Order: sequence, then structure tokens, then C-alpha cells
Amino acid sequence: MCRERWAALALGSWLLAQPARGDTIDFEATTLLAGRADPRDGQLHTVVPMLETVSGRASAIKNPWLCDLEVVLQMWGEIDPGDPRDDRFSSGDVDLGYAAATLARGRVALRAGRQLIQGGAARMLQLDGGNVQVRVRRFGLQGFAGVPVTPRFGVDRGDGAAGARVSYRASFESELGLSFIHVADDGRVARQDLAVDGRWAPHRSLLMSGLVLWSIAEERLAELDTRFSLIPSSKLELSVDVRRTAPDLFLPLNSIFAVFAEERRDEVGSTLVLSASPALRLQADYHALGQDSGTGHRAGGKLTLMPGRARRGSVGVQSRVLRLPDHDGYTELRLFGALPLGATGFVTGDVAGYLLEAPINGQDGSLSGQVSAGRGFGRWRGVVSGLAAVTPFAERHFEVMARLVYGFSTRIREDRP
Amino acid sequence: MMRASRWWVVLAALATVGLGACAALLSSSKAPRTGDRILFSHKVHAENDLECVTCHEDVIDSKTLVGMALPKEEKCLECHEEDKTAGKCDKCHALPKTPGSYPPREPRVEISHQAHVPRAKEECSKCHARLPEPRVAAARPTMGTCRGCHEHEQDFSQGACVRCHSDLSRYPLKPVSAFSHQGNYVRQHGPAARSSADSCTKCHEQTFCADCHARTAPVPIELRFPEKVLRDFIHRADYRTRHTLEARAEPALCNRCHGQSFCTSCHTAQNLTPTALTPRSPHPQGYSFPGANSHARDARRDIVNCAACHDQGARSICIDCHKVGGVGGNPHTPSWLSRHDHDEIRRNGMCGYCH
Repeated sequence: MCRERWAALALGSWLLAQPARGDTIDFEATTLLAGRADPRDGQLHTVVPMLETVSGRASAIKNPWLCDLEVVLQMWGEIDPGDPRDDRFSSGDVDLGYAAATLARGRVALRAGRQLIQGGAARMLQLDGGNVQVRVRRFGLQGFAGVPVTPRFGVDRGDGAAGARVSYRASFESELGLSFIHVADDGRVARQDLAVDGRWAPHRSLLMSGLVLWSIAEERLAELDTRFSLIPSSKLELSVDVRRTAPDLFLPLNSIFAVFAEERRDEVGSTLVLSASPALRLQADYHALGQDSGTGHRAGGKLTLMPGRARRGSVGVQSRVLRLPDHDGYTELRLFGALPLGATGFVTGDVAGYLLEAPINGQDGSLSGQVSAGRGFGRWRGVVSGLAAVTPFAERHFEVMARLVYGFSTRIREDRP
Repeated sequence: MMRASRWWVVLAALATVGLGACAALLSSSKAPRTGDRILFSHKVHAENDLECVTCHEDVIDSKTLVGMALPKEEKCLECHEEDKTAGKCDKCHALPKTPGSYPPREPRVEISHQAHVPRAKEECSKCHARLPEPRVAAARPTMGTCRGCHEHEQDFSQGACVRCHSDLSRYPLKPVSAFSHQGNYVRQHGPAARSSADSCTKCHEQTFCADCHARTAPVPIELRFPEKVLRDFIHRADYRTRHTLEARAEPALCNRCHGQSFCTSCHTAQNLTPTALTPRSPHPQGYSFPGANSHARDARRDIVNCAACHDQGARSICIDCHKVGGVGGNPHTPSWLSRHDHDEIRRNGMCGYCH
């Protein structure tokens, strides 16, 4: 394990000790044990990962300098005594580990450490670095800089990333932003994008949102995403969305594959959500896919019934169809249900079947079924789950999972009268 | 044999659990909780012409909801001393054998009664439309009531939630209208979040986002939460079978989170990449050469698909044929030269792979 990762784990352990001084503490530890057969090129390999995830947040930490000081940590460690794909018996990492605070009556927000940068051109960037956000009345300014986090199973995503976003918020529902991001890798530009994003709600029942992402280096449109939603009541929502992407611009620009193509993909469609009654919900969508190779279709429907007064249980049926321009695709039929058992218990079932347009390994279908059961015991929650499947990659495929969660939330300050 | 240093990963995880447990023990409340409830009828007291402030006497000076300005037992005993002496504990306590105080409640809203009571001219019912009874829950003042005041309407429009809501991430409200999460919100939330990241963070902590979006996440969320059958998780059920179809339907979607190196790691294990131990080609015969089955058309249409197996940087097999002087010829698109001048070959090290 590299030195940096050890340092991150050590920092994580230290940060987790800090919540003891916090006014409010949220803590959750998850132990997960899974077992499954992993088909690799016709051979089945047994994988048995044992995972421990720890998540802690201490907020409203009293101190004389900063307001709303919070420390957040989410980390995990795993051992795999089976036959893992990457031949690593153990691994671990920090998903999040940052300290955040505000200044000047909340107008300035600071965050430092491993974090997620959201919004605008940044999309959702995991970064080791700092983020500053200033908000004065309706105007906002955000700036961030750091090193993109290396993804698991992947190579590093750049030596450095920096970006900024200026925004104007007309109301809680309406905002317009202009943002920029620059990612460098090995001294070369991996990504350099300019984005305009916005949300506008001219009426409570009408919402428009959109993003235009322009690749500065390639002088081409990388993404256009617009959505119009009509919400006449809490029972009905109708939306239309139009998207255009240039998939090749989602490859790093310093990849050799960035020079071979100029692709364009369009998607136009509509989604309907209807709550016919508190116990019955219908969801349907259709999208036409326009690619260089022709036109495809994506459509689906989902009917969910939630019987009983408390609406804790549910049963539903879902179907999805995907047709690609090259006469490939699948049809899905799925049945699912959840049954509450007592105050904290439950059983869920999920069966999904896929009919393939073009056979894979001579098989034109796939069927999987999963049953899960769980119960809470005070601060503990336990879930066990089992999956059986027949797929084109394995005649018989089984997976089991057991999860035990210990969590609590407490305040240092006593609120009792 | 496993290296001894690797055990430190497990030890580090155990240490953090231990530290967290210590923090919990140190911070937990020592006050006994009996599960008792106080049975109190506002209606009966109001019918006896008691003013609200007779019991809630602290409310006029209270600046926060800490303590909720609830009357202590001594206040009740000013009138009900005889009941206690006579042992009629069940008159006020739901569990008279193990009587306790009010259950601890964390304030979810920042509000100063000191500032509001004079504005409401001491008419508490202006905000508190229905008070709690022994078997009837209180109707908490709605947000519409708060927004009836110009000042709070302005706070709402500016997204200044924390002026009133102490912690929306801990106690999220059901999103309505513009922030409705109906339908397949897993798929739809992206466009909404790009221009509303600040609004999203009012309710959702980064730990919530990290379950899916952290590149370092150990397991997919579908494996972690199989019981959440109502969620439209992307990789649900037999995703391995349909992943090529989903990737071809929307190539950019995969790359937003994974990057091609993620694909390569698995495809190498399947012996599908040139760097695998015993590589095999999934392509039709003659795919490498010009002709009807040529790879050129596919590469132009779906280069992300090619990159999922062949992106090995300077060692990519494309370079063997497409480098300057190679048999593959110039692979650039017709408009490439209009955006990239010849000098870029010197500036951009990647160009040196071929040039």
C-alpha cells in the first residue's frame, strides 16, 4: 500500500477521534460480508470480501474562530481471503475526509480535505484539496483546487484540477451559473470545459433546468442537457428532456483515443409519474436515441402498489425495453416487493428477467432472483440477502451478503428541560 | 503469505471503530429514559381559562427551542399537588410505575419566541393551530405560516434555510414542487444537481453522495443495499450481461464515474485486452484490416467502446498501424486539423506516440 494511502488512513483515524469534542455526533459502522462466484473467461473464481466501513460526522463543533465547524470522515478497509480479481488480499481507502466551516455569518464556506465537488462543469469530482464558496445576497462564487482522487481499479485521473463557478440565485428554485474546470495530467490538458447551467421556476408547477458544457480545448459541445417539468399537483409530474452528448469528449483529452472520433449522441424523451392514489403509483417513460449508427429507443413502465395505511409495504412490476440502432438490445421484466415485519423488520424480494436481442455466449436470456431480510435491534441493524441467477456468463450463479450496521447519533449538549 | 503490514489495514479499521465507540460512550446522556409520556390536555386547561403563559412562562423570554419552554413538575404541582399526594400518578404519566420527564427532543427549527410572541400579539394560535392532546398529535406550524412574513419569504427565496432549519440533513423534509424527487430520480438527479448543488446540500450530506459517486467506494450500492427494491439503481440484477448494451446506448454515462481504466481492469481478467495473460479477440475475422468488417466504422461511431479494452497509452495497439508511416494511415477526423495546428505535435507529448 502506498505511503499516501497510509497517511490518509492515519489522518482518518485521528479525525474520527475528534467527534468526541463535537456538539453533535453521527457515527455509523458497517460490517459487510459477501460471497459470490466471479466468472472470468469461463472459469469461476470465489470472491469473499469482508468489508468494514466507518462513517462519522461531528458538527457544530464549538470553537472561538469558525462557525458551523464540522469534521466528516468516511473510510473503509477490506480483506478478501478468496480469489479477488486484482490479487490483493487487503485494501482500504478514505472516501471522504474533510473539515468544513463558515465565516462571516455563513457567507463564506470553507472545506478542506478529500471531498466531492458538485455542480456546473465539475459534474461530481472527487478531490483532495480545498473548496471556497462565497455567497453575498443573490450572488455566489465558488473556487476549488486540488488533486483528483485515483479511482479504485483505475489509474490516476490527473495531477491537478482547478475550477470556479459564479452564480446568480433569483429564488430558491431558480439559479444561473457559469463555471470552468481545468484538469491536467502529466503536464497535458486532460479536461478543459466551460459550462452554463441553470434552473428556472417561473411558476411552482413549472421547472426548467439545463446545462451546456463546452470543451474549450476541442472547441466542441461536450454536453447539452435540458429538462422541462410540469408538476400541476403532487399526484402528477410530466417532464420532457432533450440531451446531446459527445461521448468521445468524456475520455481524457490526453488519451490516444481522443483523436480518433467526433461522436454525437442525441436523446429526446418524456417521463410521466402519476400517483393515482396514495397506494398506487405509475411511472412511464420513452426516449428516442439518435446515434451516428441510427436511431434507437428506450422505454419503460413501473407500477407500484403500496397497500395498508402506513404504506410500509410495497409490491410492483417493472418493464424496460432498450433497442439499439444495430438491432441489439434487451427487454426486462421485473417483479419486486417489500413486506414489513413488526416495527423494524422486513423481507424483500426481487426477480428480474432479461430477453436479449442478440445472444451472448449462445444464451438469449438472463434470470435472477434475490431475497433480503433485515431487522433493527436498537442501535444495530442487520440484513442478510441471497441471490440466484442464470446468466450467459454462468449457468448457476449465487451470491450471499450479510450486513451489520451499528449507528448512533447524539448531542453533547443536553436538551432536557 | 500475506505481508504483515497489510494487517494494519484491518487494525486501522478496528481502531476507528473503537474510537467511535469511545466517543459514543463519553457523549451519551446519563439521564435515565423510562419511555414515559406526559399526558396533558391543552383543551381541558384552555376551557379552564388558563393562559398559555401560565404554564409556559419561560416562552416569552426564550430565544431557542432548547427545552421547548415546557413546564417543569413544580409548575404542575402548583395545582395538582393533591393528585400526586393521593398517588394518582397515572393522571399525568403514561407509565406511572416508572415516571419520567418529557422525552428528549432535539430542536429542528431555530426560532425565537421572544421575538415572535409580541409580533403575534400573544395570540399563540396564529402559529400553533392545533395543540397536542393525550391521543392527538400537535399540528406543527407549517412553513407556509413562517413564509407569511416578508422576512422569511426572502430567506426562502435566497435559500437561507439555516436561518430557521437547524439541520436539514438530519431531519430532511419531503421535497415538493421544484425539488420533487418523483420518478426515476436516480437517473434524473444529475441535471438538477448541477445548478442546485447548494440546495441539495441543505438536506444531503456528502456521505450520501459518496455512496455512489466516490471513486474510492468499495462496493456498488446495489450490493450494499439489496433490500431497497423501490430504488432504480443503475447496476441492479444481472448488470454484467447488459452492461455492453447500456454502455453502447449511453457511452458517456459510464465514463462519468468509471473511466476506461475501470473497464480495462475487468476486461483484462476476462482475457479480452491485449495485455491479458492469454488474450483472445472478441472481434469478427478481418476486423483489423480495411474492408466490410473493418474496425474503422465502429471506432468512429463508438470510440469509448474501443477504449474500454485498448487504452494502454503509448502501448495501445492502434499506434502500431496508425503512427506516421504506418499501414493504417491518418486516423484523425476530417475536421481535426482545423482545431489543432501542426505545432501542437511539439507542445502535446501524446502526439509523440505517433508523430
